[in-house]
Amino acid sequence: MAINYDKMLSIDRRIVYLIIALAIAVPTIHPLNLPVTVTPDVRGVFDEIEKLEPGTPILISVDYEPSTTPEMDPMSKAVILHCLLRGLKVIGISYLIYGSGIGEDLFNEVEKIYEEATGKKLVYGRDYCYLGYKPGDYAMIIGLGEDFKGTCKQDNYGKSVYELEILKPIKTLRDFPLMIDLHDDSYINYWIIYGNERTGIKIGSCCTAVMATGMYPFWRAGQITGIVGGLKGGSEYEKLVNEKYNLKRRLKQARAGMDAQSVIHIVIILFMLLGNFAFIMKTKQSKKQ
Amino acid sequence: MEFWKKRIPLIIVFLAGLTMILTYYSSRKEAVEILTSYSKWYQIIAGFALLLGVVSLGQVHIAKIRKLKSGWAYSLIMIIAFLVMSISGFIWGIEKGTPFMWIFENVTTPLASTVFSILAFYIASAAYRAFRAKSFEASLMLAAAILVMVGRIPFGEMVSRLLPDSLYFLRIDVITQWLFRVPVAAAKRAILLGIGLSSVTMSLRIILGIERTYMGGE
Repeated sequence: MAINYDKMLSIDRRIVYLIIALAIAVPTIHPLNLPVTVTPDVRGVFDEIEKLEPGTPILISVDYEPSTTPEMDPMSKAVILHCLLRGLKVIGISYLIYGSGIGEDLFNEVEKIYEEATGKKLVYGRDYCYLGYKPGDYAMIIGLGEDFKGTCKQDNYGKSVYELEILKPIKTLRDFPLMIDLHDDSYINYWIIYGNERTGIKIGSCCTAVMATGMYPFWRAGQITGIVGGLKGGSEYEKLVNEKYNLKRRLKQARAGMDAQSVIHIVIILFMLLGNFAFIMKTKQSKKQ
Repeated sequence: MEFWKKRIPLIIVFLAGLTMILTYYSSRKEAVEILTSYSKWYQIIAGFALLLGVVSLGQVHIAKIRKLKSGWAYSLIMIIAFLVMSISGFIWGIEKGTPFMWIFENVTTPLASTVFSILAFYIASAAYRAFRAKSFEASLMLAAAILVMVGRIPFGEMVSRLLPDSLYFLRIDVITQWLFRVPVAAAKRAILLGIGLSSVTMSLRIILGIERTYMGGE
């Protein structure tokens, strides 16, 4: 029986959508628990945080939009939790207007996870703080490099930064040995140009998988310490934190998402191969005729 | 009039541009102070620009609703959403537990995430229908896409582990990492250099008054 390649190539897109929906739903409901191997890119961020002494301030910039929260949130939580478990003083800020709400949610959630995992309470203003969105694009970063508190003025809740205990030793960006940028776009370029280049602050990149490829030139040039890219990077980071700190409540959000992503990658590859097979066979058939 | 409309903006741009360049590369106290002042000015101007953007957005959509142009209902939704978010933010604040934050968490974030996640369906459909190995370049891209997609998931690593240690360099995850670190990084670096050089050229043209389109006309 001859196969109708024309029909195969013009398959109803609703069938494709249905297969994709199933490929996402099944591994999400029944996790596959696929093994996770840690790559040097992710270890670069983890190790840099580990090198810092407890009590050292660290800046976390929440530079992503609501659309990428499913991909960004798991790794962001893992990184912030890691900083807190390490005993670092975490100071959050945002380059993006959306960061105000996203960062607030993020810090609230991490506070809960920290308390569940360790049984200890965090104190806002002493252990961590969130300064929220600061307008001014790259001029804001230049400002932080010269006068941190003068540029920020208030935290996300309208409290003066001069009243926050955690910010007392902070004068400029130079007082932070490391910052982590949680980003879904090229905002990190500004942190590199006006932060790293001017003040010497080291930068770790946590970004969406799409952005990760663009980070390699910076990593190779030593301008960033490492890359945590997409759900894969997030799952690797979760593994590192889980193993190092032996948490009561283990981090697994990125890993769960990684199962669905693994299946979806395979399905898309099969689609590509099937589509090309039908295309080649149809071309051959046409030539014969 | 020519003096006020053309000459004065050109002089301001020239002086501001020159000062920014000189102060950026200087660590003298005076230079740092000037740069800090400039960054604060920029923040203030950016604040006004945001306000201008909001006014412009309102004007465009209100005009569309008044004239009942095609898609006016979307403009109405935009205006209502804008007012609801702004008013709730001004009255009750933006902290956790306020109506503003509730809308942000339960409407804005899920809606934005949903739109973004629909991409997976489109990509799958497009991969099946359009990603064809029609030429050498397209075949190369297809092969690279498959390698990266397999290499970025645990499945790729699991399959690769079946290879003996002597064939380590053939592991899919190793090839993927190499692709990212060498060809991708090189191409991206070339693009970045191109963008950088173009930005420098354009900035110089603006500072020197050769490029004047930002003033309107010409």
